[in-house]
Amino acid sequence: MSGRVLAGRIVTALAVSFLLVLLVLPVLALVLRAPVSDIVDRLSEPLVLAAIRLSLETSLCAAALATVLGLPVAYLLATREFRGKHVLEAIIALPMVLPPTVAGVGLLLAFGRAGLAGRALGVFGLSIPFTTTAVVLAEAFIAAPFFIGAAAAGFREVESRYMDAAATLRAAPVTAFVRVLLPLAAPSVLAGATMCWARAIGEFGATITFAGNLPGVTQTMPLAVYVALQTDLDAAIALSVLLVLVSLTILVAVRAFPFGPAALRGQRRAG
Amino acid sequence: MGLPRFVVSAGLVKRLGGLSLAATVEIEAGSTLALVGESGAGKTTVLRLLAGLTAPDDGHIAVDNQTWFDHKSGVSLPTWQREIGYLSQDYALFPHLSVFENIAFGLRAQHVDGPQIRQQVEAMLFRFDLEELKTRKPHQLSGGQQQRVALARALVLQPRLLLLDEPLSALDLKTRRSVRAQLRQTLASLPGATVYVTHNPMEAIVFGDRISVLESGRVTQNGLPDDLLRHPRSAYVAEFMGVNLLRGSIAAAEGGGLVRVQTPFGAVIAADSGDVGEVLVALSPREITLHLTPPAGSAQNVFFGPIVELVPEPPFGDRIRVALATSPPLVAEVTRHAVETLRLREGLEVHAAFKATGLVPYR
Repeated sequence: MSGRVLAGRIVTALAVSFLLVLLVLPVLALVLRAPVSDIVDRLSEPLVLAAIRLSLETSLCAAALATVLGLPVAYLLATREFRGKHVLEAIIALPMVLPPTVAGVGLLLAFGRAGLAGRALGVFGLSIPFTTTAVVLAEAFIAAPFFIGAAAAGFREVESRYMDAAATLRAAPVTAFVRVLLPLAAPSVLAGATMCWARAIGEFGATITFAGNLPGVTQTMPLAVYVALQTDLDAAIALSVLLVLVSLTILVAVRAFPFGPAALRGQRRAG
Repeated sequence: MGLPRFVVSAGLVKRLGGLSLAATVEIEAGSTLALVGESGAGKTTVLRLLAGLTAPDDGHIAVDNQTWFDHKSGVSLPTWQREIGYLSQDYALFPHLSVFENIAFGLRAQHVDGPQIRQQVEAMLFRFDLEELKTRKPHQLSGGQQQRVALARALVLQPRLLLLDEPLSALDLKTRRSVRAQLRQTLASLPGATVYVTHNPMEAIVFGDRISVLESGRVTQNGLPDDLLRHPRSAYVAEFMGVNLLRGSIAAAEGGGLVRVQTPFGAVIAADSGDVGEVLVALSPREITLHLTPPAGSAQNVFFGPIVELVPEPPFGDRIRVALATSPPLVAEVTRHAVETLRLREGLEVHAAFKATGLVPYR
């Protein structure tokens, strides 16, 4: 018996160690190679600054867009049963597994000049590809499932008795959603929005395919890293370290901040 | 003056899991219907159907001549448009809102003016003695306090139909007694109709102006508490009300104002009510006297058997309920004094006697 336990522990320890090496080593390598002395100078170059600003703006817009459009979708998925729900869920989750470049090609074919919706938009003199709007769309497309998944899970976790109580107290469905479901699911919704934002900051493939790589217009931080890699390694490393820091901060915050879903569950159980 | 005007009139049909429900519910304005039955009989389902939280398969619901549901014409008012108050067993207070905001919830949902909301909520806080607690969150309240908040939250909307699902079951015994008295007063003053679901006979009798008994999704009896006590129609109702029920048949009147009721356990002599054929006979446990030797006297009915159980009624009360393994099985109720003088104990064989005049057959 103890032999089996020991074997299990060894296998687990090996797996954890190997995974840690795989995950941590690249990050460590980045930080060790960081041009510590002039990292601030590197980051304050005009093109780098522009990329940082653009990344912040577009990722926040994309997260906001995904949240606003994603809330009703998450509500629908969490509260209603309908035919083809599994298919809809799969379609919504698709961007999480699709190569982002493929998503970019799809966006191009849909909203490009000759695309399905692009042609209609062209009639009004609107053209989306290779604009900042395209960056936002690409990021929202890739990052939205992160929000919808978390929000739907949060809505499902709210016990139905609270929504029943709201209805018996004459709250129309929209009122019940805003005043009961959303506050009770707030931890999951906030966590989902934050994860969505983090994914949007890191978006590369769909952006470069659909929006191109125009400095100051569509060149976000990940794109700037890619460009810098070919000319200025230190600048690429400086930007990469910054991206790692931002992403890590967000991920730690989502876990550590007391808006984790478990926090509210505990409070509810006590009540 | 004509037919009684029911404020609530509903015929409900619903298949749900293993339950097949088909029940009629009728309640007059200002009165309370106690809905009783065992777990799984469909009590909560009836409330959810009336509230619109579950959709009936068939039937109709009308309240104050307004149709809330009608399968034939396809009318189905959503829950939030029905003027109800609903207390679930666990009260479901909103955990993220204070006591004040819980009570204000329904008024805000109806876009009542701010000052009006404040005034009405304050009135409720005063009425239910919650003023000191108005900034507390539900998890900071005791069970009795939560119950009062839930009631205030529902009543501030002046519901036409108040639905209470075992409102005292979540409370400990001590709290239950004080809350029961309060709730009795509150319900008595309501203009609307109330459905009070319980499996507790005492609550059913205290709160119910009428009692409906639900057994496996069917209403087996509906009447005044006294009707159920005197004329129970099923073994469950008889047990619920704490009376003995015998089923039998009368071939013909015996004369002298007496009849012989033939039961599967032998015959009993009963008063002649004019009924013949299949009848029911209810017997109050207090009509039965217990004897160690065959009684000589006016009691026409005597059964012999061992004592199965002695249960004080109420707990620590003066009277003792004595369950007997006679044929038919009977429950007698005697004084503590009688138990002591006769030295009654479990296993002791006794004669249980009762007079024919205490038995009135009914159909």
